[in-house]
Amino acid sequence: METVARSKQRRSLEDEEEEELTDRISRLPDAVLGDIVTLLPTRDGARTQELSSRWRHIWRSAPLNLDLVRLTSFKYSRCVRVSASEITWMLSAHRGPGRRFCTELQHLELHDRCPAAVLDGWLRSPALDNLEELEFHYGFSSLPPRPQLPASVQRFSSTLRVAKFAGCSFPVGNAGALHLPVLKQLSLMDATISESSLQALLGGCPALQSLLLSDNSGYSRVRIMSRTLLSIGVFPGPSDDWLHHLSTGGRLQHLILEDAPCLERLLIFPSAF
Amino acid sequence: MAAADSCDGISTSGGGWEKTVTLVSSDDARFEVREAAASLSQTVRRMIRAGGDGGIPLPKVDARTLSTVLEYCNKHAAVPAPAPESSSAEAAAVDLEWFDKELMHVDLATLCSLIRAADYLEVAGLLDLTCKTVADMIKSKTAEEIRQMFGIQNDFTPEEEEQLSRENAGVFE
Repeated sequence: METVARSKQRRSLEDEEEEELTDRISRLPDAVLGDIVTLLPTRDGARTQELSSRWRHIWRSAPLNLDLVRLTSFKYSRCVRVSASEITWMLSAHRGPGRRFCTELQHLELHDRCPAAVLDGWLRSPALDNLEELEFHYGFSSLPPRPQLPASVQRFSSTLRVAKFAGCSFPVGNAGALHLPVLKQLSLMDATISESSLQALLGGCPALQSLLLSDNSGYSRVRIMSRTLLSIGVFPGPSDDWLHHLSTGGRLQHLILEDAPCLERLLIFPSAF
Repeated sequence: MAAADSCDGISTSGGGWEKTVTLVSSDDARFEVREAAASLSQTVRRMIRAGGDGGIPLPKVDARTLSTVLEYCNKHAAVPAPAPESSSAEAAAVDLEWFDKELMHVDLATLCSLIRAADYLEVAGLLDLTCKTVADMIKSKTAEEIRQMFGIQNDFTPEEEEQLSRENAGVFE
């Protein structure tokens, strides 16, 4: 600090002493304070609004990092469930853009509302505009049939870099297939998807580097044709009994690496069931 | 290019045959730096491309801060592209992590100067590192603890404060 003061001798000593007492963090540019707040877990980030009027708007305008999975497990230790209306409030309080949104709907209090509709509503919120990372799990209780992938995912197509779609089903065929040109990491878990839908989805991810297929059903074969894929992880799928229960049929039996020149890792795990 | 003035806190050894540039701080200290290291700053990179004689002026960064920024750049630019799964690459990564940690052992005023410099010079890695350091300081603390740590004045009226903590409590507590 002394060195800084000495280097600016033109300014009076009194000014410098004044400066020592005021807080330097709050005088950083908005964009930098936003960067700091975005790095914080959701609770800590939201709490920065209470610091002072300078900080009041930072969290609301910094890219939103809303991790309900972490928030919920914290709540669980105190046996409190986060309710959907609270999340809706939080999203409406935030101006956006969004950076990351993670949720497991089975751990939320939905008040008997359809999980697909609730999630779709959240994803349409301006707070999540330009979302880069989206992870959701509808939960195991919602079967069969599993709720569909929310149509609102489409609005993040140009920004999404990381996606985990779990516990959902995909529309049959290529119609409405997602095009995710910058997606690097895709996980499909406990999902129902037909072979042609899966191929269409993979075809729509030209920058994909990492793919995880875990305990999905609806397809028995997948062809990999990707010049960017570095790693593939596969849990083949639910047991036959479970498939019967799901009445969706088919689990992965053939993984065909047709063209994957950059592939470094192929991990095949035994089924989780 | 003019020879750089001697300057404490920065080593120009090991540059050997490499191309160097001269950076000039707000208090007129001159630093001769390898171009590869200086180019970690996007601001400097643009100015190198623009050309010009007599060193690159950086009027928003004082010598003390600039020497720390350059320490970071020299270290990070020295690391060769990692060869996957080779033990030397792993060791280099561990060494870098250690270096970064040590570099962040500074007082708050210095940390803020570094953040401003990294932001102005557009050294992405250093901006990330310094912002993460501040974020780690904020994590898991109450609003009052954070205010005390940074010397933040609470300028809310009691009514505003109550409303804010009520809004947050509804969701988080």
